[in-house]
Amino acid sequence: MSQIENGRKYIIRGYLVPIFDEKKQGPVFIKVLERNELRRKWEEFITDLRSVIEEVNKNIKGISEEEKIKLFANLVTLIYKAPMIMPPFLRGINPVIETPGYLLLIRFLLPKVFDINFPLNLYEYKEEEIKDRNLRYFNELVHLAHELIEKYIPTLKNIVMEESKIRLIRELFFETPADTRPLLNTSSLVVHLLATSALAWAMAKKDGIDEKELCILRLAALFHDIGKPFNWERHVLESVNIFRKIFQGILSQSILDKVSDLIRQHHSGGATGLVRYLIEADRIASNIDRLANYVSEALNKIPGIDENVKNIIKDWVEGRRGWETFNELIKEMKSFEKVKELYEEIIRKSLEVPIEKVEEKEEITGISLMKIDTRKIQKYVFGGLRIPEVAGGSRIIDLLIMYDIPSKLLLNDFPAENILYTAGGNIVLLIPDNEYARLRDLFKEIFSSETYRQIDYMIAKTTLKINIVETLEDLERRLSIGKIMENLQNEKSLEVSPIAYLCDSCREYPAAIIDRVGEDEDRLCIYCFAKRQFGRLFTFKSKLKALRKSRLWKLLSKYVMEYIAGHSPEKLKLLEERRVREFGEYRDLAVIKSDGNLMGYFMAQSRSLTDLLERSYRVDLALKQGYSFALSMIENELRSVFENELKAKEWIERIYLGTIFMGGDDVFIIMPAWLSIPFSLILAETFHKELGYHDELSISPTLTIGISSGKPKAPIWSLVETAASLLDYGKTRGGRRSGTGGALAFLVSKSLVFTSESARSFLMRSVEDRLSSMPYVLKGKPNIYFILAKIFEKDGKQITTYEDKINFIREIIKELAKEFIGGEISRLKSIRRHMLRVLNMTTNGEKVVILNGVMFALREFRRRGEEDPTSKYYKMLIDMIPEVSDPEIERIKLPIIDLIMLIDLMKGGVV
Amino acid sequence: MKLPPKPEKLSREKLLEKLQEYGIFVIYDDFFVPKLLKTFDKNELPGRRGFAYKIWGESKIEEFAWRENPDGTFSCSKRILSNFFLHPHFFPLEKGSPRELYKELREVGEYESN
Repeated sequence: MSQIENGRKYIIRGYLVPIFDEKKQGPVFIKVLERNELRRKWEEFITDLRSVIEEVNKNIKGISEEEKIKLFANLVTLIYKAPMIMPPFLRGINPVIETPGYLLLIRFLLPKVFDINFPLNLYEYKEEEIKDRNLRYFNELVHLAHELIEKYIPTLKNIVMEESKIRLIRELFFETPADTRPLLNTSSLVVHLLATSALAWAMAKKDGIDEKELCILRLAALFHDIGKPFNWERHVLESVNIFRKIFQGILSQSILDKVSDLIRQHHSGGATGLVRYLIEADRIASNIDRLANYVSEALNKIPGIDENVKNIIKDWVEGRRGWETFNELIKEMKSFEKVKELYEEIIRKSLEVPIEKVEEKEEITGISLMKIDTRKIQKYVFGGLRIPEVAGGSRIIDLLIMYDIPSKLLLNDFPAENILYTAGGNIVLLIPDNEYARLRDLFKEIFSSETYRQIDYMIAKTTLKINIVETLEDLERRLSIGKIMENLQNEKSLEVSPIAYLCDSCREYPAAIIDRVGEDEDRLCIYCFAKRQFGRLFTFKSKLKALRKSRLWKLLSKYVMEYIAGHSPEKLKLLEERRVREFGEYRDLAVIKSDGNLMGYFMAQSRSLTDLLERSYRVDLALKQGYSFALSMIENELRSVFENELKAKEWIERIYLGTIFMGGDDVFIIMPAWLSIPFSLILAETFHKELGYHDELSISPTLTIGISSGKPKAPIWSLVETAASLLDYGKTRGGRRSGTGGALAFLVSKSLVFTSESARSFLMRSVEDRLSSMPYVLKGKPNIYFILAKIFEKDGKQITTYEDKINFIREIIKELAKEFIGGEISRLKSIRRHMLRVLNMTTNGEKVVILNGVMFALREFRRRGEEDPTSKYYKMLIDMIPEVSDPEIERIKLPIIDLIMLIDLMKGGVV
Repeated sequence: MKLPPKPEKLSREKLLEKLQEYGIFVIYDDFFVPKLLKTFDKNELPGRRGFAYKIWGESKIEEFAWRENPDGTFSCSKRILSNFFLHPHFFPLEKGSPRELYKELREVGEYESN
């Protein structure tokens, strides 16, 4: 009987995108959750939610009930989404309060709760204010607003600023299933609530329902299934109770009754009035019909399944049975384990069912997806002259997409749930068609403001179809048609004023402001100046504040690159005093750029709107997880070697300071070169792991990373361009293939200044000459771990699972830290010296003869004999040949250039 | 998408009449050699194409641009710019410090639009 009892104790959550199982070291499609544990977590969350709402309510002054409901609906949505809108938490580093997500919370609460209207949006700033260097008032206003929240709504601040609370919400968000039935358990409860509310609002708004009713509908939709974790079988009453518990004494009795009625009726068919929107939205959001088709297709594919079991499942597919399915299955199969296996098998088989097979042509007329795409961001962000511009540019885009547009929408009565997701430069909304014109005007207003005038944008809209993939494809098609149209129209654009001095940075707009940087004078246009100010004030300065190192601001504003590369403030003072001789080693820094592989394919596998949302949230979190995991691991390992906590922490702070952009699958980080290889490896591995570590059926996306390193004095655009070019190279030649686990391409510019073209041709040339085997991949050949294992004298064949890889990277960090401290003669240095000898033998004038190098290495290995430690280096090189050479083409490769660059990188340029 | 305003077509006489309001002119001849005029000159203007400037509001500048069409008319457009530095090719910088168009227009004469 204990097996059946297990059914009462546990429930099963399914995943269409598998999760990583630590024990199995591989992907699994289901997770067993303890009902009581889940219930306890939800209780904790609901208590927090209640106290936030109470605190907000206490401070509300003179707004109508309608406004109040709207405020709470938005607040609940933003709290649900908190893990996505807040940055990753790092040990010992305070969250920066100028985070777009937190700003959004502040912004929409201020006017309604505190009756205060600061000019807190960037689009409100006029040209003169930017020119008068008034942007810093923005910063002060943010701090003022933050203090208000801290004082009057402390629980809210805790919920979004405390790691344990965010972790709780994240767990609830991704773990709690919306249903217990097979395959229906693959969508998340919270995502389901959000999607239902968004759909219900859009459908009711389309029919012209008045504002107050709309708010009530939203609130009902946001709580309609919240009772599930408390009682899976009878959730409706439980949902009503919880809703009442949260809003008792806050909303008037009539509103409470209305919302409760809606929740109560949402499972009764054939209803009329407001509730039919809720029922229809619930049906579309849970995607129940389509999933039922998948289940029946999957059942046909599973051999030897018991007839009774089949009937039970068929019963729910045909719509006769609901909640009992799970319990009945357990009763029938008499084993919880077997039910678990069946659930997993159904998911696996359903993934094999081609989407076309169960495709439905149904369109939801009058409801559309709208996408706002910012254009030419790469140029806007990376076209700058100095690093603060790059930092500021990416921060402005970040604020635009994640703060300014959403807050403008919220302040104009657009629900927060209907902002489906935001990702690297674009934002997707779910709208009723009759809202389109109004929203388009809002965007026009934002983009014509002084701050954003330099940014181009494009809007596309398409009718929502049940087949979400088709909807997305249609949206993209419309965007690309728009791009072609724009190019045609752009031909007649105005020229610049002939007598104007053009901006030193963008060379596009007339210069209007002189900015003094050390002894240089840059003449900048107003837009580039705003970018630069932004980068200084809101990136480096506010980060230093978060690190409690504001005192270093004056020094670091001049030498931020040198600091990031790894020079201590004391040494930088020598630079300031021009005592260059005492300065010593000048370390390299590395620019890391990453991009996801197969992302389009991953998204195109979405089975429903909720699945699409969950996928995009998981990608976002995967990167954040990878980042914070990489940082904490580096800190731990450095601590064990340096035996000095402060010194270890300093390196983490450098990476944190150099993190210019991170979002979606996109990363742009400037960091100390010697840590760049382990950091990138952990980032790519963890990203892949968080999305399932899976290569078949639903393929887990991977990261391609481009690392370019050089001296801090090197022009930043060169490093950035090189990294971008490496990224592109890595993607096309390695990352995009499935089963590679991600790809890595790196380049060290010693005294050269590479451009994207020259970096690419350098790589192509080395590969053509068979001296390089770039890019390296994380699974398969040529494997980066194999090469690293050879260098560090480990057994490369043993490194296969995620755990092995992480442990190996740990060891690398330790080795590198020991090398960093120095002492005995560096091994890496001596490997590099011997490799250079081989390289010299291989290149004979203009010609490269691989065989010469191989012969030389063999001879040296024999001549030196076993006792000589240097003989091992030659053996290592020869061992690498089969790993990097392509067996089909019978030509061997000798990866000397890769080896030398890898060592250069890991030594931080001090060789 | 931000598109520039549609140009308006003017006859030669109308254009010259309009240009009298402006202060600084840059014109191009048949070979696209630029020339700078600080006063209105009926003999030189309007050239094959050109730009004229005057003060607009408290700190902005109005730029008027024109270009000759094959039929002898001129396509003209107007836009408001913020104050900017002048290119040393036209206005040699004094001791390396940049000069502003706004100040230059003031010196040429108070050409302010209403």
